[in-house]
Amino acid sequence: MTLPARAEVSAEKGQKLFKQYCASCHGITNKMVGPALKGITQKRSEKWLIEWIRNNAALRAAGDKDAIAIWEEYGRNEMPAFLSLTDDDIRSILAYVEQDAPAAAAPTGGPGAAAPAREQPTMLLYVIIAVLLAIFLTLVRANMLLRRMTAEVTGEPMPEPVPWGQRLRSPKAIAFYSLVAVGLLGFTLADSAIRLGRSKNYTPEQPINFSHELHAGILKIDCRYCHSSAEKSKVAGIPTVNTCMNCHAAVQQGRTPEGTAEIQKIYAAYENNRPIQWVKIHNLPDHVYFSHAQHVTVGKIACQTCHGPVESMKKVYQYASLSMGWCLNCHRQTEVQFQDNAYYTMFTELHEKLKKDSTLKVTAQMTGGDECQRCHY
Amino acid sequence: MTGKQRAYQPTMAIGTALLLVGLWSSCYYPRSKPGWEYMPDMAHGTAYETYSINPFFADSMASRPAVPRSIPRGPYQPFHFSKTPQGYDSAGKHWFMPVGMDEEDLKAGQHHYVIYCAVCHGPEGKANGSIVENPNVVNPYPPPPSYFREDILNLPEGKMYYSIYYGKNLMGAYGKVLNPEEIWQVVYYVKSLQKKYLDSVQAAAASSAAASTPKP
Repeated sequence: MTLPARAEVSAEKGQKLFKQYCASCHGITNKMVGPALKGITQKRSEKWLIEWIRNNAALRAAGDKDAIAIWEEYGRNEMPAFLSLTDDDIRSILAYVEQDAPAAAAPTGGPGAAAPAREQPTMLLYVIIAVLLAIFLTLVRANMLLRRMTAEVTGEPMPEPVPWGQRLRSPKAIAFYSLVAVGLLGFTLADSAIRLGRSKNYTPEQPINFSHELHAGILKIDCRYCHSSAEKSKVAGIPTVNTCMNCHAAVQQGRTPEGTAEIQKIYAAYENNRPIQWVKIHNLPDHVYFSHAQHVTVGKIACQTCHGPVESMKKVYQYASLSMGWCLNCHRQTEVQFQDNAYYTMFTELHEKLKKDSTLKVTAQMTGGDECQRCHY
Repeated sequence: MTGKQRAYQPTMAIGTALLLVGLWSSCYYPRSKPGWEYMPDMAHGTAYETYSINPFFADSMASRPAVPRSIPRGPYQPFHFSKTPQGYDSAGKHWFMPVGMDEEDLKAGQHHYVIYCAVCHGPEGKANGSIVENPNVVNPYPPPPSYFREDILNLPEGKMYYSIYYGKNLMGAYGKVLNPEEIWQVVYYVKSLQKKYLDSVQAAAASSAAASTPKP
């Protein structure tokens, strides 16, 4: 019975094994940690490949020249031994590698393809407005007709129609315009004055068109992966080029040619050993002390509370006004996680109160969060 | 109605124009600029900000790398093994987890693991992180080895530490974002995942053996 043994070799099985054992270092067509594997069976004999894959150290120890050469070429970086793989397992992997079909990366339906075109809610709004307008005009017209008919019945003379030009120039109309103008200009003035020194919605051009929507939203990379000092330091931290390279050493293709061009900028910075000059968006005045660690680690505040839905932003903008009123509002309203929080153990009086009244909500204000010196010193 | 031509009165036109300008300016302002300031007293310090340009240094970076051979405050444990295959092997033989790791460490390890490792290695270490297996991604990241592959199950803790500290193969180095204590917590958590897996395999084997034995 040799049948089952032969049936063991299949590219399908090879794909699974490749993913499990090889894919973390080898690409099929691209060189990663180890060489690209397409065409390997033409370069080496099957026997040699099986021996190498199962235990390359033994092959090298036996003095195989090819094995030693490739080991030297890749900086003596050792490939692990895979003693558990059978000959058929390895043949399956090779069958998968040499398959005509391109790598496993063949996308199963593009990212945008699956999303159905959503009905725009604004369209509905326009329809409703049009219908209401039509009803209004019909009613005005009916009203006019009725008036004319009653005038005919009672025999009163029709009032002479006032021409539109005159109506628009009447004192009433001018008073109305003035009112609107004063209202608008007043609003503009107040709004601009409030915006002075604040920069809500500030969306600067960044040196790399980096999409948080892709990285944080679709790929679900934790904010703190890149902004790793947010838990420990005053600043959340701008990731170094090294952090980008953690993934982009392998991910060299973007979703679009433009994306690929943007990724190239990382390599330029990496090779020239120059930092990428990101533009800081959230700026607080120098006379305010703010610590990310205090808010993230002690307060357990989600990043989105202040920075908004960054995971859906293609381009990051300043979400909150960062005004003092905004800070204080949050300090007054937000209940802090007071129990089981090492930072708050020193607030003994509050703990006593809490023991007496378990419904008590401890806000940041109650721990001194609205005192001037908390932030201005 | 007389057909008299009226003199042109610019009031209307000017009024309308003013209204429109007011309307437009109340909604529009350039978002690529931070906006105006009014008397920004003490808003801008004279000191260089964390990531600003500082012409004092040759590379004009205000954030400076640590002085060579300086020792950080907080948990510190020098890692003497070099970033070479030899260093990797000897870390596996001579580098061990501190004794007395407990529940707290496990929790902390999980916390760091979720932030830094789970994107590739998966929340349970099954090599199915959100950048490796994601239906919405065209070019998924190459999968790392599963923690439950036989050679990874037997990986010594020193080699795990080395891999986190220096990076290994495609994996980047995390020795600069995690301090030694945190790296050990992550190793401890990974070991606990492997132990859970081995226990479940054993339990499954035991139950299947128990199910097969009473068979007549």
